Amino acid sequence: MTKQPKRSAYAYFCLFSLYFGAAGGFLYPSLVINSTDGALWLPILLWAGASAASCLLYVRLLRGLKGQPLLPYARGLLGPAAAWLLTFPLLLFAFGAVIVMLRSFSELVTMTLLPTTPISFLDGMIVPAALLAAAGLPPIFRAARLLFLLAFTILLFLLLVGFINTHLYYGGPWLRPEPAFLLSGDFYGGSFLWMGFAFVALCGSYDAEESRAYRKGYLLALGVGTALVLSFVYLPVLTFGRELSSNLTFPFVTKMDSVYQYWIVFENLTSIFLSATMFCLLVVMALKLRTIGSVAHGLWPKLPVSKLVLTASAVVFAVATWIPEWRIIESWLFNSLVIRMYVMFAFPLLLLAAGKRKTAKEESK
Amino acid sequence: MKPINPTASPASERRREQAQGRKEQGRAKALARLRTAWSGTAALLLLLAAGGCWDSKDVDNRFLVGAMGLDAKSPERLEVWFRVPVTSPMGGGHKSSFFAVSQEGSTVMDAVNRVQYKLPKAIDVSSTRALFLDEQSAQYGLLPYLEFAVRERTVPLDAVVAVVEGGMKRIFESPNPAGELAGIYTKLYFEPYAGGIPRKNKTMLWEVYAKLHNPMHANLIPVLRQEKKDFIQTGNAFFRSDHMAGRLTMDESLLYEMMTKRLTDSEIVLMSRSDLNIVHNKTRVRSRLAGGKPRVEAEISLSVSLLDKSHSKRRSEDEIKEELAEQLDQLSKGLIAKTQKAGSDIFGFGNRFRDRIKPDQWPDLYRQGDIRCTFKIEMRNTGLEFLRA
Amino acid sequence: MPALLASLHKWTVDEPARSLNKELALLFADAHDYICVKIGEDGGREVCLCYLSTLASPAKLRFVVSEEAGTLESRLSQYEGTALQEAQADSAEHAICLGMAVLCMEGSSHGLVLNLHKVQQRSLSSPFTENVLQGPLYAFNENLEVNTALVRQRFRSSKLKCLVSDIGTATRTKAAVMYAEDKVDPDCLQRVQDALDGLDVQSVQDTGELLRLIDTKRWARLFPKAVLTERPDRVSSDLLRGKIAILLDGTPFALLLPAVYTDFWHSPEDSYVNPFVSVFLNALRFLAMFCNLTLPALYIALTSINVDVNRLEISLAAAASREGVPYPVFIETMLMLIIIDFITEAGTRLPQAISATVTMVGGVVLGQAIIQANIVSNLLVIIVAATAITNFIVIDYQMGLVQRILKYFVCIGAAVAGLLGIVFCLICLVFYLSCLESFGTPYLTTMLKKKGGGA
Repeated sequence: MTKQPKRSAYAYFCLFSLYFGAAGGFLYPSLVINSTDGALWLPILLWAGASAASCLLYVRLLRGLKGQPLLPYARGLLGPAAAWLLTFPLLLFAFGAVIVMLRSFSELVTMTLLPTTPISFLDGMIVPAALLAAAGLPPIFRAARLLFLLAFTILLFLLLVGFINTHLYYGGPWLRPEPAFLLSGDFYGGSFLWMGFAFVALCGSYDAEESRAYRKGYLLALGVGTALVLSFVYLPVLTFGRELSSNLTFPFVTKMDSVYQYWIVFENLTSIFLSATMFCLLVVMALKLRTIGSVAHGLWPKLPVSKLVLTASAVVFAVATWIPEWRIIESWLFNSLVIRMYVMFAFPLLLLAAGKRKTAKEESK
Repeated sequence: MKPINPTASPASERRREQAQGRKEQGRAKALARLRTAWSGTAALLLLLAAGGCWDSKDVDNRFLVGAMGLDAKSPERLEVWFRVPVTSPMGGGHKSSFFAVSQEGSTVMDAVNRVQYKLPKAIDVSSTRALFLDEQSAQYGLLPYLEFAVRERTVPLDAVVAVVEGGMKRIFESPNPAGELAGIYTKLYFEPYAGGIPRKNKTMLWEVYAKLHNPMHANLIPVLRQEKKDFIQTGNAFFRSDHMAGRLTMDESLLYEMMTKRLTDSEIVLMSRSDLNIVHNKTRVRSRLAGGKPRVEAEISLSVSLLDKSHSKRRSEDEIKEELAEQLDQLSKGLIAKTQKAGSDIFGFGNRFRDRIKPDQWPDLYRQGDIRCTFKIEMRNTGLEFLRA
Repeated sequence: MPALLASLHKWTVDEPARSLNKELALLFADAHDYICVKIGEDGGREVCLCYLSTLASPAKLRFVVSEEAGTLESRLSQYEGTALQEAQADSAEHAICLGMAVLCMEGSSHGLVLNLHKVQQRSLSSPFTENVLQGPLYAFNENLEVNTALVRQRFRSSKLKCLVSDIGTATRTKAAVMYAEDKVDPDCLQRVQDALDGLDVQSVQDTGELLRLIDTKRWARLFPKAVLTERPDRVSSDLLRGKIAILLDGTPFALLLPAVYTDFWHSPEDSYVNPFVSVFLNALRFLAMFCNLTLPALYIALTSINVDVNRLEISLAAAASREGVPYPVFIETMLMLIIIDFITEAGTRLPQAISATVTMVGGVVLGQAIIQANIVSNLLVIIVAATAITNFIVIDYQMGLVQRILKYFVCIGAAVAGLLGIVFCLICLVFYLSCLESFGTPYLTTMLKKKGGGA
């Protein structure tokens, strides 16, 4: 590696869009549908707004980094002990995210395409992601750019095809917001979808220009992602109605099963959908593993990142394979809310405050 | 070009020797590496052979089921029929192009599992094209029999569903007139390129299942019967929740298609003195809640063209239009009265009230509802011959 | 030529243990084409000319064997060569091996190198591996000087630089590094030069071998890191796009560095035809690549694991054609793929006259017989044939070879996990490609060809 080429806003856009593609398709729709009896778009848009706000917080933070990664900066700002305390939850958060993603996808595969293949084998798909993560951030971005083209062509096709047999009147109530969803665990469980930016912020080094590209990329991807997620949620609802959709574990997957059109060569669109999701998923897992590596490197600066990434992958594999019941994954989704909120808002706010105090102190001197 | 300047140094010999030595070492290392690579590959292949392909079952080792029939003898005992197309290499040899088996069980999956004990190959229902429900079992209720398809994802959700009257045996065991690919005949019958689609009311498994869960939308499933050689559709059965509640005639089904905007193809309407082809259909539905009662107005515009008229009588365009409107009006009144009496909203009008009422209230409200159809008919053309009164 | 004689006179006669001609005679003992003739005397000392008769052409220095015909002076004045320089034993040996002649005087350890080099080369012909349909019809040959000249003729500017170095301790093959000064990435140039300087090998026979040698990361060697071409037009246009060309003496293939994945899918003709056609052709090539990678794998996946993905009609047809085939789909496909690779390989290595027969026997007779013998299904034969054809759409020979290997890899994936296995393999491939770098340039840099500078 000679010089780090600047990452363009487009590269960020691709990676973030892949995040939405990977996380939005299978776990998320049922959470939203079950969170409210009222309009479904409301919880989605609320989270999208929260996500944009949190992203802008991070951008403010990243702007001041002057070309170094976030975690060494935090260390320099707060001192080793405080930084350790502050960043440890990040590690937990990232670990949880990868484990849930890996296991839930393997579970989805066994439920649909490969019923007898053991979970431990399917979890082995983490290997290429781990190797890519160990190779560094630039390869992740390069892979993301190519796979974005592949995955989103397929997804776009599937979404278009998904409009067959939909009726707007199933989607109601459209305009009746029911604030009860604010008390629903499902509503908060869905927050994992809106955190893609945090992973990228935690690894990689930033300066003013880079953070601008980051912001532009994320806001664009947030637009695309929200549209994507709205389709993931609404297509099954508009086809099956609310009642059946809320009974389904993966509404969009079942929706894909129901599509029949004479000119579509493939019968079983679920497998195509799973392929597209897999395109997104492995890159996103590589990104998350890289984040674990970076955060862990911030905690133990003496160990090399690539070793940390590989160790983390082994741990993730072991835990994902060990999880005995699907319920555990669901309960993690609900219970890790505090950590997620911490990562979204508390952590950047704390760092910003610390940074401000430091500059104030320096000026007074 | 740089001038040639072969510089020589006394150390060159020694360097060459060193290089040689290094090369030997390098080769040994490379060999070792190659060996590890090979053993790795070999191990991987062994692993693959040992038990790698968990879900692999070659297509010639499966019986791909073309059609399945569910026949509930009693609420506990279920008979499942399978119709399997027989594949024969190079088109030759076999007399029959299909075979049919039936198996009793307590659930569908149980029957599928048990039928394996009879057959030399694994039965594979994952490409089933059609699912038949016996008329009797349709009266008991469908839900318990269909859940397996969604939960286990065994039968594709886009399989065609139909109710069969007159027993499963006949429809499963008699050969199809067209002969080829016996099992998928039913599917082809409902395919868009087959004729008469609007009255057939193709219904797919996922629709049935979704409507079973949706109190605001009732099922309408085609009813088939096996005649001597081919099967005929005798009408469409409508349901109240998961029980069969009555029948629609084929003509009523056409009206149903119009009201639910499913009519996209052209369709022929026969009247006493003339035949018309409906070439375009547009429907507007207005719904409101007036004094706690739902009120639905469906405004159906039809564009028709004249196919044939009786030579015995002179008729004008207006007369023909009027006759059609009257005929449709009669049909619609009968259709609405029938379904309202049963409390089965096959049109899904209830979905339009989602903003205003709770889903469970709908079936009762539907009974009291005021549902009207108005028809607006345009004669687009009279074919290549003028119609002169 | 008095200068020649004058420099001969300047030598100090250092009376070494063995004078240069003796030394050379010792070095070239048992080489029957080594010739050392006395061409005259100078101040009582013998002057002789040493050369390899197979490499040098004494015609350039016209001397007559008979004693009376002239003095040394007159003989030397007939020399019509270029640069001359002094050489000692080591360098004289090298010079002789290069086809020079060395003028030695008795009692001196120094000699004069005369350029009597005679070149063995074939004439320019059209490219052998890259068939040209439209565009310049000539290709490089095995002579470095000619090849450099061909490039210079297409790139007439002082910006075109050419550095030469020797590679191989035994063969001392000349390698020319050419680049356009204002376009090239200096960082990349430095990498290439370091790589060439750092080479420690006995011999280099071909640029393909050279590429393996300077591509240092072992795990990353699957994909070619440089384009091999024998077309001067491709070299000169790529030089203008900021690439570096390495030409090697004795091979008609030039290396173009750095190369990214998409470079292997473009032919220089793409810029000679109209853009609609070239876009169509490019799309066709990528489609062919996808088919080549996935067709056999899809067959495996769709007939053994994801049977419900294709229509029942197709599944039934596949089942019918496999009826009676005793082997599992995976084995059947592997068998057939290997056979078709046998046929391809047999066709390439044989002389053209025979290879037509091989294709005939292999393709037609074997294909027909293998179906009738019920060893493979006829659906598979169609698929394998299509796969083989798509493989030939690949423009670059190196990339075509890689593709041939990769399809087995994808097939294994398909046999284990069906469609998802195929997708998994493709993802692995993308990940692998995105980790690769060709001399500092990421291998997956861009999907589109950049206009102008930058690689």
